[in-house]
Amino acid sequence: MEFKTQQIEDVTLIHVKGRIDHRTAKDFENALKPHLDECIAGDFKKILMDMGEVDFMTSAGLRVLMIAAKTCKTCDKEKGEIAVAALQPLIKEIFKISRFDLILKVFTTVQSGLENMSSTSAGAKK
Amino acid sequence: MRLRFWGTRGSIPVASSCQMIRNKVKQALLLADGQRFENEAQVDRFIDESIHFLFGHGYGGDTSCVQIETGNEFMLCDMGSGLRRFGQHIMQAQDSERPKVYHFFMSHMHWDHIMGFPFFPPIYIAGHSIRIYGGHQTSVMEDAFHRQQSNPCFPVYWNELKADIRFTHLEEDRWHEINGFRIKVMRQAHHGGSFGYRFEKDGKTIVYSTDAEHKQENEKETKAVIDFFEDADLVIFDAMYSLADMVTIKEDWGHSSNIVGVDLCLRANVKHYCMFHHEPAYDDEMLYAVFRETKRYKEIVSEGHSLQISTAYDDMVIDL
Repeated sequence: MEFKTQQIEDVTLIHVKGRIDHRTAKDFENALKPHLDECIAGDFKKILMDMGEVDFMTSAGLRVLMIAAKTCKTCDKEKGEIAVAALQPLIKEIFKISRFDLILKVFTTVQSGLENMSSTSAGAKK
Repeated sequence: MRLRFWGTRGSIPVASSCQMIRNKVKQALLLADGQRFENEAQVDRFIDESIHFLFGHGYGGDTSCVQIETGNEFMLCDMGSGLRRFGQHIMQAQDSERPKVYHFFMSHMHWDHIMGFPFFPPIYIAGHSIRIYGGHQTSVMEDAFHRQQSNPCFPVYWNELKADIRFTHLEEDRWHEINGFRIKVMRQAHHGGSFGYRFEKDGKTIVYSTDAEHKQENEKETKAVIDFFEDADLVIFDAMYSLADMVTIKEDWGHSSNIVGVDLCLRANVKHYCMFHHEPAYDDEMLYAVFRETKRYKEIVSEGHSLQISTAYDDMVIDL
């Protein structure tokens, strides 16, 4: 699993690549931890996960994602937020089956996610 | 070896509403479309072959009670409201008064798992032997049953029961020999603790694991569960919630999700995963939808590994 981060205005955009299952869930958790720590410290409050290159995901990975979302929300009920974007069709199906699509914001594209989450028009255009 | 499910619902028994029954009848009549039947056998054949499970049957609403049919002595897991129907079945047999031995394996003492006991006729008949096993200490089990059989819960008190009733604590993580089975007990995450059972006999393995919250937050704990399930022919699993519910509003409520069951069973090389302890708020349509989604999830994540999936329903029979 690969993990790359970009800061676009007030949104932390995280590109994830590969499989997220019981073998990589811990890596996924560890990779997210610094960003969640910053959330806790009050810096970055909005995280958008670009899942376009995630081709396999099981309940172990979904659990990590939900804990991250809950941490973000706990830090700042008003602004804290994790959303996902650009899900591949099978991952989108898994989100629906697990009902994660009902509790996490899911954007069709990274661009639409940025536009929706960024509080500045500059961020939305990048 | 045959398993018979007398109760499959979680938390509290449920019954079909008038509207639900009316809908089933309506669908059946629409499907029959004016067809004439010469006799009852033709009607039965029509129900079995032409009417969807949802309209010809349904999942039922009794709480946990599963029978493992083998030999002369009876073996059952839990005493939910389904035990009442098992008791009726036993009492209709011609030799119902003949002394018999019943072995019960208790996941835990919560209400929905013991509520069938007062309605189980053999406890009122001298000569019957009731053996109650559990991972909890005997004092914990006795206390729960004694309190249920006392004021204000029930009008027939414990000291009025006529059967020979004994409690046995089964130490966890070691093998026990009972009624020709090798049985192992595993502690599970649930309020007050619950216990899963691995039954082995004649080269067949059944795991009964209900009321267990498998969070998968600790790989060592998850691996212990996988070892317990390993190569089982059948795993009866608490699939009460969606994963989203399990990790959010219902976290620490002590139950698992349908797709966690798939992941654990695939990792453990289980042959047949049976979803159990159904959410009482789900109607038949919802349970069937969850069944289809769970099968689809398995197709997506199994990477070629085979795993049979079923949703338990009251009166379901599985032959191993």
